[in-house]
Amino acid sequence: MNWAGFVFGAAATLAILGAVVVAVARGAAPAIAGFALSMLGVAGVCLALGDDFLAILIVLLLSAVLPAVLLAAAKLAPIAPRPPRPYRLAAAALVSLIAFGALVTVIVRTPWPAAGGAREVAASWLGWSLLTDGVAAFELLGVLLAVSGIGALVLARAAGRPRGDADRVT
Amino acid sequence: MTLTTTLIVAAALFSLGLGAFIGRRTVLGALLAFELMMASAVLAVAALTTLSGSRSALGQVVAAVLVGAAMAAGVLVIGAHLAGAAGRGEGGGGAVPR
Repeated sequence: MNWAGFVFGAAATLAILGAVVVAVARGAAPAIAGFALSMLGVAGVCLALGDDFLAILIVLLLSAVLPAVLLAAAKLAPIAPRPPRPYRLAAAALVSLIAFGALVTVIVRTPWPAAGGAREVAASWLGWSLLTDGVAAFELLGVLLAVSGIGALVLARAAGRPRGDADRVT
Repeated sequence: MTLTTTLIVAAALFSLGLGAFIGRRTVLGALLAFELMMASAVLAVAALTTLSGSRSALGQVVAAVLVGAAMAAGVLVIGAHLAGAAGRGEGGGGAVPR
């Protein structure tokens, strides 16, 4: 087994185990920790596939930032969970099993086309596209972001003023 | 490491996310289940882009956009949750009833 196969196996196991923890955990903290582990596993699978950019993105956003924000939100405004209802958990497990069986059947029976041609790299392709075909959309997006930033500043200034001034601005 | 194996891992993530969504007890639990389903979509797109078809970079960009959408949805739901709790004056340690 080469290193990619080892990374793939370990990461896939981690992803599924983390997802199981999310599905069965009762508290917020274990569920969020399971989610972070699962996203780490997904990033590992992407790394084994050769998608380095995607792996970095998933580690940063879904495995680090989002769980941290979720933990902070759960700490700031904790939610009283509803009591567990056995029939609902049984229905969830049944639907999960049926969905998994159906998806595996479709995946195994579908004749997927073999990979062909040289592989394009997302970063160079995206940079080239943004500077040639999509340059107008790219510039318009910049203008939109600038306008939204100015609007946010105006709203923030209006919110800091007394009531009469704020009404006049809006 | 084949396309079928990777897609089966993605299917497992999606099924577990679906089960977690049905059995959820809080809004944050629903958000975690939704994020699991989005991650399975990211994994499926990445696998299909890498191990099948024309190996275009567009698939990688679509997968990256899906990651961004998952993050944005998470931030929006958390923001709405915190804003709702602040509006009710229940933040700062007390449990927020649904």
